[in-house]
Amino acid sequence: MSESRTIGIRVPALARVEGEGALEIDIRGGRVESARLRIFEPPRLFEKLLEGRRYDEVPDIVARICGICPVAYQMSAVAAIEDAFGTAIEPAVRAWRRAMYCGEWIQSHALHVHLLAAPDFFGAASVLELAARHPEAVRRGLGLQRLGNDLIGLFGGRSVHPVGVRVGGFHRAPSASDVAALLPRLRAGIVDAAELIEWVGGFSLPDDDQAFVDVALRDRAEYPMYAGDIASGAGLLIPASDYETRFEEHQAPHSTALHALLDGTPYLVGPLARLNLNIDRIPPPLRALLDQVGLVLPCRNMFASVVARAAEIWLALHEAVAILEHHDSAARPSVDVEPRAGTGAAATEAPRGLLWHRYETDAAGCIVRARIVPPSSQNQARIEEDLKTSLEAYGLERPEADLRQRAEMVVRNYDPCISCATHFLDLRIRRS
Amino acid sequence: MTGGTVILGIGSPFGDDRIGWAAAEAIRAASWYGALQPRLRVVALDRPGVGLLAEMAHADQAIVIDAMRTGALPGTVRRLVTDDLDAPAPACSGHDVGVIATLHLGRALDLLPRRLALFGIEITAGDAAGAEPNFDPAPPLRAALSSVLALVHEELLASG
Repeated sequence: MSESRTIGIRVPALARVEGEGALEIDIRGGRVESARLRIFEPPRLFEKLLEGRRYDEVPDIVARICGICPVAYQMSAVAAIEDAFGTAIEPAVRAWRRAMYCGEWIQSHALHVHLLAAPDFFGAASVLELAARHPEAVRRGLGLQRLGNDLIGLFGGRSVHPVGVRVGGFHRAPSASDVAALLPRLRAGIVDAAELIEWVGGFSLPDDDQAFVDVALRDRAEYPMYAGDIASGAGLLIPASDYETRFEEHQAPHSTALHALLDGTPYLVGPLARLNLNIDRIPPPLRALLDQVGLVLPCRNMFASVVARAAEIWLALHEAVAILEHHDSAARPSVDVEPRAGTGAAATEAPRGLLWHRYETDAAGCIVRARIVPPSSQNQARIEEDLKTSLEAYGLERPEADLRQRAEMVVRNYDPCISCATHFLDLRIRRS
Repeated sequence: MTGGTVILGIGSPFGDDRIGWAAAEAIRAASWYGALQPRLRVVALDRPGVGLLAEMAHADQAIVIDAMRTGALPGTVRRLVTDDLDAPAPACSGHDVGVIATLHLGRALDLLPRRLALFGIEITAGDAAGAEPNFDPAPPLRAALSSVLALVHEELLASG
């Protein structure tokens, strides 16, 4: 019988998650009484910043919301504004947006797998320690990250003035020569990605099956990235415009963020949810790789998210090659846009999960009101639920240091992007 | 480009943290810049994290310029090479893998250029630093740009 133990676990600054977040767990009488993930997010700053801006300023503004996934924010934004204006984009542009999104998935997932997740599985405190022991794996991961960034760069890059995506299409078409230069690297990347799946597939994952509701886009024919209806493991299938009829945000008392609930319950967005809801869209070679490493879908173990991310790196590279092999550099990069008063919404799949935008516009095409629901805030309720379940299953009688480590790993499974803090060189100088 | 020198101005849209970008702009506008073409490239990067390593790959020499926080007077400029620095505490996040941690990782993986120098420009203390998006760096930092230019020019001449 478990002891009546009362423990408070405070992790004031979570390591190896994006941005800043803190964790407070209270254990009493053999149960997790509460698990609170505190988020330090500029409260709704960007939704307010967008009010009064013209539609053509929106992509550059939203690109700055997240230093890790600017492309995702641009994609959801332009799709929502195009929905408001009734702007139909060209098929070539649709394909390019998908390919650009592939780049962001590759770079974001590669970063997370190698810098944030992998160290845990080797008892390393950081990627620096991991690099000392497994330099080849870390170099391969950085190479994949670079490849993802270069794929994004094909369409406009991630410089200090992110250009590329615009309402109606792109600012310019990628040149045939740039595409030709990148294709062989992407093909080589697929080989690296297969090796990566094998590597992460060999990680010793805790056994931690749980019940949860997957939410992801579901597209007619493709693995979802840029388009589709919103689906859930409980049979939901609604267009993005109906998001607010089923998904509600509640202010969590302990953080500035809002908890999202589907029909009143927590839910999961992100790579594992996408794979679980789109098993029939996974290319056969990838299915074979996942079978080889023993990933059975649908999967209910959040620790397998690291394998899910490696799988999506492979998938994104495969998609990008398929799209760019048919690249037409003469295709029109954008259509004329006629702004009008209206309301538009769109959901796309950011690396971390469903990203939903909604805009009300006036007759001049200026933003009257904006709503942005990021994937990480949608996962927050699920993370807190997971922590309770996971730690109780792990065993609350264990030493506090072990509980803390397990709690941090549980949070990292979700790859939460908590804020986009500023950064400065935090220097300690050794004088000899 | 293989070989040559790359200057990397690191920053983010937030106030003082734009100073690395301002330095990159100032270098491009410097009187001596043209004479050093085409072997000198200047790049401004927004929160590159470990992507910084890819930006300096294949160069003989890299000069990194970024805002720093050491407690010195705002606008203080400091030149460092990686051997000067203690390894920082384990990285807190993917994009908070700052320049220091990234350079240590690069060294562990043998991915750094032969010559590497880092110029840090001290930020304003307290909450004022980088609190707002799209505001300019504070006056002491902007005033430091001329010293930064001189130091960078010296660095480039010293390497011949």
